[in-house]
Amino acid sequence: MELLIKILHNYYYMVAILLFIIGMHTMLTHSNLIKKVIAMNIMDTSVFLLFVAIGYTYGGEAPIVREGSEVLYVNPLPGSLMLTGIVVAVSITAYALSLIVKIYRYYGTVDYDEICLIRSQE
Amino acid sequence: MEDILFIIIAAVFAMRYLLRLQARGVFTIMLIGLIGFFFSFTVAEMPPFGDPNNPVFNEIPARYMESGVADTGAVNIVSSVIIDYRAFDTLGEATVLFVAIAAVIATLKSH
Amino acid sequence: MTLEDQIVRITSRLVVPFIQVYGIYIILHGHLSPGGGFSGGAIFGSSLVLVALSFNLEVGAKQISHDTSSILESGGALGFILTGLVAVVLGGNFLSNQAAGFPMGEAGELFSAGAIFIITTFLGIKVASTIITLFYNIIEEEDKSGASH
Repeated sequence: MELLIKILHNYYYMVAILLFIIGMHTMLTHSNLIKKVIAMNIMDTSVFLLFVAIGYTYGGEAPIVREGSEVLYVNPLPGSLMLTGIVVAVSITAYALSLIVKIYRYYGTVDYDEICLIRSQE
Repeated sequence: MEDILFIIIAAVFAMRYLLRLQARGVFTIMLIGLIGFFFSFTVAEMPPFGDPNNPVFNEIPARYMESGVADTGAVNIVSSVIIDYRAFDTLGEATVLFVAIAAVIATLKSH
Repeated sequence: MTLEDQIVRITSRLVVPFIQVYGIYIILHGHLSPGGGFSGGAIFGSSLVLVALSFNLEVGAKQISHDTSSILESGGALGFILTGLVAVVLGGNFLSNQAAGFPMGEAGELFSAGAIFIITTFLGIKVASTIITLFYNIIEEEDKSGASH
């Protein structure tokens, strides 16, 4: 039970793992293509949450330097490195959605099972 | 060893029959369970959340926060990190954004 | 035009200038308060997406033409690189701030931290026009293909 207490103390990381599992299950199970893209976005968000939550400290403030000594600041490094990741996630989502528009124009449907059926009959 | 195998096969047949899932659904649940199980062990091994003595607070963030205002003149430390200390990464990120837009336009406007 | 359309149009016509001022505020105060180029540019781009969603597409496309948004997007990326090259001309490394001789001010004023202010503005313009270009390209392709099917 010491394992369970250690896991429950780091509940931020557990929520990030839970979001990752939910995204992965949705991506593998549902057959609609747009749901797969949304699930990929959820997985990206869970990774950002994990990295930004690593830099937190109790009693810390936002890293805007103000007057006064002995002010504890939150670690600014993981948050600023995840800004690049967020922009990359937006770019991948935009390109995936444009590919889905072209697939719809050709096949007439956005369902993966029906697309495989149409491809196997050509 | 044979007991674990028997339990796994019984669980597969039970999920297929009771929940009426396809084989794709059963293997997905088993894979997700395995991944979540091993990730939980990793989370237990990580340093405790919110501790000021974590290994993530080594000398690099200390230097950025001590001489950040004097080096760059910006009060916002996140801005000075991404635009002054690590400006080349932000240039790469702007390039990724530009290439993604070019790819979208090239995909959608070709005849 | 039903009553719900009227309410949405009147409200968005009132709210869009405030959203744009808020986005420009976040871009300009990138070195003083949380935010910076990316979030301010996203907020500014969202205001023009709101215009296109509450009115129809022609009214939205008339706010910024395709040529203007292409020039703004390329101009943002070029401005970033030109600021780095200006630092080389002034005698420092590529993309350096105080070692090259940009005018620092006092910490906490609006016109301080020479290169950070300029780079933040260019990044904000770039991200705003990226979001506008993405939205109009995907929606107009949908519209054309939906009409032809």
